Amino acid sequence: MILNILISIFGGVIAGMVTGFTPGIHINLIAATTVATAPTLLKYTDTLNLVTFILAMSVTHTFLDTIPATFLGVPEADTALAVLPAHRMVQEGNGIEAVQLTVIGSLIGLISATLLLIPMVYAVEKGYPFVQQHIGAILIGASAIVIYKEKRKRLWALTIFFMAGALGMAVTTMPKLTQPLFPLLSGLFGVSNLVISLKNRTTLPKQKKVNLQIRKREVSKAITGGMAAATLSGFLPGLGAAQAAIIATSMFRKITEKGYLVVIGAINTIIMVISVIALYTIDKARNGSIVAIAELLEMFNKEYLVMSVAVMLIAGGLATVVAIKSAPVFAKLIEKVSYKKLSLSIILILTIMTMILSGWVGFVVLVTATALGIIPSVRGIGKNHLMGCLLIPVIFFFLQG
Amino acid sequence: MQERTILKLAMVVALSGTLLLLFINDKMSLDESNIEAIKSVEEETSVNLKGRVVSIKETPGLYIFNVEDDTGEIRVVAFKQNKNEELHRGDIINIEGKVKKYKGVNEIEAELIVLY
Repeated sequence: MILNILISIFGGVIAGMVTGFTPGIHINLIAATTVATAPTLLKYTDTLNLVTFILAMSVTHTFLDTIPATFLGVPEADTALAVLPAHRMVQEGNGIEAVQLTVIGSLIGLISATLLLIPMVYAVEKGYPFVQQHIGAILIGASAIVIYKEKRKRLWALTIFFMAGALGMAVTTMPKLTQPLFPLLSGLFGVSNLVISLKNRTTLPKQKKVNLQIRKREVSKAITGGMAAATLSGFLPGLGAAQAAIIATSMFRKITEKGYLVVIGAINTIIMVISVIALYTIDKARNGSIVAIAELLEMFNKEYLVMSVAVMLIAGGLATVVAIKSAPVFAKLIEKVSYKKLSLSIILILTIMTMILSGWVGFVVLVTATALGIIPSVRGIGKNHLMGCLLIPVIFFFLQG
Repeated sequence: MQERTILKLAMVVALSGTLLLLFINDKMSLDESNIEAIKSVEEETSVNLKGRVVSIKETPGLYIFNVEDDTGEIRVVAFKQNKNEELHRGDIINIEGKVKKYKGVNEIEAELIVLY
């Protein structure tokens, strides 16, 4: 069994490298495809290996997805907030350091979540009944905090939030639109960023390889905030890494740009651990990978929880090595390649994928979402308000009762 | 923090995960087993078995069927709410479940059944 699991972990890490490095390919897509093809795959393997594969892929993805976000400017919803500070560092020639900061966040976040596994299981078990009764109100409150933090442009933030919410409601309730989230999130967070960068980008400076310089206190602050916010995100459907990051950074008066990147890195990985805990304690699946695992396993018991933690630790360790070693490779790549041609190629790939997955209606969604996604960049407000596209449908669902 | 330190920490984390996996391997026993081995394991052991359905009986709350492989035959019990598929004689299935004792003989209480 051990050998099979280790092979599945290696396979998952490789799949996570593909999804992490390739903008636009989300692990939810691969996880859903794995479940859809499970009857065929189970002729050659068993459910435990498939579950291991999905978990390893998902954890690896959380370590690696900031790399394309940093160097190519193509984030997903989970990495949207990392893009601005990370891009600034790339423009200063410190892109490799930006990646190292998010990887440190992911690794220490994973270690912290593992060490605090038992109290977190207890917290989720005891806290969820209260949260469940007030999910709508809590999500409204969390959204209000995020918009309030905008300081000078709250009206714009509110407008963007509701516009994105209206688009999200339309897209998620549209009949016959398959894979609605792909064109929606690609447009809001991916293509829109690339369109902006096509207009602004000239050439990027040579990326320096430096020793990571960040104070331990800054890292502790980042991880603590990340743990608290990620726990909330694990409870609440629709509250993704982007909002969790805003809540985490609002807990502390001062957080440096470097500390911010550590928070972003930590949150994505901790959310993965929390999602597994939520499946065990309250039998709720909070992201696509966990939905896939819940469908494959009739019962997620204590043994599966411990096995999952072991798989995540192994995958996390391997993913750290991959991330650290591949950041300089990406850095060299962007120095050699024409950024304009690369951005145009990625836009083309995302458009083709949208047409394949969601058809002409999906293309319309992509264009609309792209147009909406450009507005925050132009107005100088955070792209996180675009998460209204997921939050508002979820709030609406829970308020309806 | 040097890159070397991050890599050392990563290896420690990966090794810890591997040790944890080795530790729970004994507790989980989710190896794909054969029927002969399952007949002698302790009650509550988790097992994973691939075999052919040779007979099926239905009661108000249960499906009781016999499954055989190259090493023997064993009874499997599936509660109706847990049953995933329609089963027929001759079907090749994969069962994950726990060993229970009924009248001194091991049988499997199925938690997941997948049809090939």
